[in-house]
Amino acid sequence: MCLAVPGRVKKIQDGYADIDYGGLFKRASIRIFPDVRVGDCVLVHAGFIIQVLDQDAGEELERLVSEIMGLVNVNVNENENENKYVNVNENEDENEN
Amino acid sequence: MKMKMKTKIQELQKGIEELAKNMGQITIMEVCGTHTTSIHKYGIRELLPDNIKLVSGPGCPVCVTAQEDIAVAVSIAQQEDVIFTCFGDMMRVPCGDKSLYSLYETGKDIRIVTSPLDALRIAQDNPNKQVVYFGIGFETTAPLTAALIEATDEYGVQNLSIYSAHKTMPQALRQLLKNGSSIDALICPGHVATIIGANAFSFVPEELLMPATVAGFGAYEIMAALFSIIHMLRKSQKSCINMYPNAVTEHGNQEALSLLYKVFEPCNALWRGMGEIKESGLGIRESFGKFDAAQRFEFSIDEIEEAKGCICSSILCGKSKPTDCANFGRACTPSKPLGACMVSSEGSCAAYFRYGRYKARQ
Amino acid sequence: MQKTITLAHGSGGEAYRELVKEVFLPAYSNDILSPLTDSAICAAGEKIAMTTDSYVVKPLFFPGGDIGRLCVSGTVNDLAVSGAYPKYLSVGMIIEAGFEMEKLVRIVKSIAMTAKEAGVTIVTGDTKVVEGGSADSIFINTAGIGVFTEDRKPLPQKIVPGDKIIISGYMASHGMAIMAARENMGFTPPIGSDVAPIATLVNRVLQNGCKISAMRDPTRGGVAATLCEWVTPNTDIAIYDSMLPVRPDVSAACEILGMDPLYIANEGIMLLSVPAPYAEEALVSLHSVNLGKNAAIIGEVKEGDGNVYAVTDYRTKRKIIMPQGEILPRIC
Repeated sequence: MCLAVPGRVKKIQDGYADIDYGGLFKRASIRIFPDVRVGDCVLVHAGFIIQVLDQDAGEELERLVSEIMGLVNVNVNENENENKYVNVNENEDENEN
Repeated sequence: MKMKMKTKIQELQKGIEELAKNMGQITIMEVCGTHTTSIHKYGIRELLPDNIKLVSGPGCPVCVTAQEDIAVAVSIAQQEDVIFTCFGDMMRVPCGDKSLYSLYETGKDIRIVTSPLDALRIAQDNPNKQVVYFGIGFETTAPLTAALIEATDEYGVQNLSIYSAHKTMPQALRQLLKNGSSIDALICPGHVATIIGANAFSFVPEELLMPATVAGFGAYEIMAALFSIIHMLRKSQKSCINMYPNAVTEHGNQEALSLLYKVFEPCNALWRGMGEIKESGLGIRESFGKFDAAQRFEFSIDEIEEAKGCICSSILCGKSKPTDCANFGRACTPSKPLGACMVSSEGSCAAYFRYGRYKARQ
Repeated sequence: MQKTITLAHGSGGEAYRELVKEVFLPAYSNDILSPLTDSAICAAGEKIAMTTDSYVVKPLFFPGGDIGRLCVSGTVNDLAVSGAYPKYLSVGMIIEAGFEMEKLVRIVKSIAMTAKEAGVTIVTGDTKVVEGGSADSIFINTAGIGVFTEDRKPLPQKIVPGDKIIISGYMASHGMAIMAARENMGFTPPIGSDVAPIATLVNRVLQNGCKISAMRDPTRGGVAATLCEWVTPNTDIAIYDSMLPVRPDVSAACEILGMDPLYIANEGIMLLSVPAPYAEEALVSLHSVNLGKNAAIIGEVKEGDGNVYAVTDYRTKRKIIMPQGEILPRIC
């Protein structure tokens, strides 16, 4: 139920990590995740690192989705443009969450 | 070729519609205030077929904090030489005609913090004052308060204490969703799961006999979680599936959990709108009792009465919608909230008020 | 000159005259002010625009600006978006006894510099001193007069279906800068306010007879408040999430604090509602000025029922409502 934001660990010193949020930096405590390393992508909640994010697992989610898709028989044409469904604009950038 | 995000969402939209066909009314509850906000922010409901209903359960710490706890907070904050610190979320929760914000407006020293460790810094900077930190939140936030208490002890800071209104999810879910609830499935709170692990929610299919997914917070993650749920419902499969694998492991953050239970122990807790739920709160252990504001301060609170006509309790349990309440948008608005569901921007009523579904002109 | 402000400085006697002579006159330096008459005598046309605002911001000095820059920009911008040429400003101050003189001098210099940037003259002022609380407060009121001419008439200030909504720059910078500074949030690099007079932007847009339906500077309550003020019972305003310009550091700060940039204050941008045939021209004009280089079309006005909404990246819709009270950061 809580807001947690991803960022990258740039430096660790005296129990705090400097987190890079895409050019904006802020310190976070490593007290509840002491094993963090420089370069890790982490989840930060209220000034504390609570978890290291597993980059490979992002693909795991897509794999889980495909598995179910395979059972359901849904065909999606990337150029489809029905009013009822979300419109897809091919020229827009990918949005990696 | 990697599909663009919008195509992925479109695919999920179609998949959900296909799966949900001819399934009758499906009601899915989420119990995380940030899920409520994300669902409204991305307009997820618009992407779902009409027979799927999403409801907000008691996952907003601000909404479920009992008025009694607010009354204690207000009582402590009013005392001489106290600096009262809390998250911004709590400032406007009303207790009668008072709130921490109204006290702040009269000049009381009440400070918003964005991290529990800010309270420690304030205590160190103000040795002649008593600093109090209002601990609210679930298993994502409680370990942070535990870390604050541990740090306060380590540094030998004497003028900081904590008032804990922390709560935990599982017992509340058991109480809410046992026999006879109209909920068919649960979206589990992704960041709580980061701490307690995906396995901690296995009781949902096992005891409550409904499917569950642990979900992330982006539009894709939420749609993927819903897709998985509808699939399980169609197959009458009762499992808990982790659909937030890059942040949630089976066993969670053990360091956080062991610190949490070193400092806190389960206790009974009052939930707004749900009464007392056994073993659903977190109380400071006796070994850290000297940091417990409830022991350090004297306070007395009056009998609390629920605001007239307020149906927050029923909305929290997913039994009613904000628009079922006669006060909604009239006597009760985000600027003058009666019940806690309107106070927090994540509360069902405030979220509905702010992000209410847009109805296109025919 | 003394090191701190005392009650004597506010009581109209010798200390006050010294303050005016040593601090205010050199900074504001102009012929209308110099005679120090009770009223300033200024030339204006037949129709004038007049506005006033008071400034109580804390901290007084913040990344990107200070209360001096703010008190000029805020009032100048209110005049500019009415279509008038901002011309004259008054500066009234209420200062706590004990306030450091060095800080006052800094603020006054900032007022003077911003006034010059905006092309306005400080023609009159007043200073009062009150008994100190913590001796760190200064409250400033500025009133401004703008003039209309043959080529600059008051704008209709009414949105029309078909209009494009244009923003002149990045959103939410000021509100986040102030909050981050006030609450010592520890962001690095510090988040800078966008506070600036936008009169040059307005001049550039209007100079070639570009038709504008409405213009406003979205200060407190952010872009959301302005759009909600503009909408009428028979219009809708649609804006597009993917088109809203926010500086990356401001966007990150909003994410971390759980705040929506649409509702956060701005002090150096404007919103325009422009009939579609003129939208491209308005955008080109804005882009030609440094202050407007991030200008963008963010939405449009349609016929409707008084709804303001954002269209998400997934083409779903999200209502935008008038903000209620101060926006606070959230954690849970």
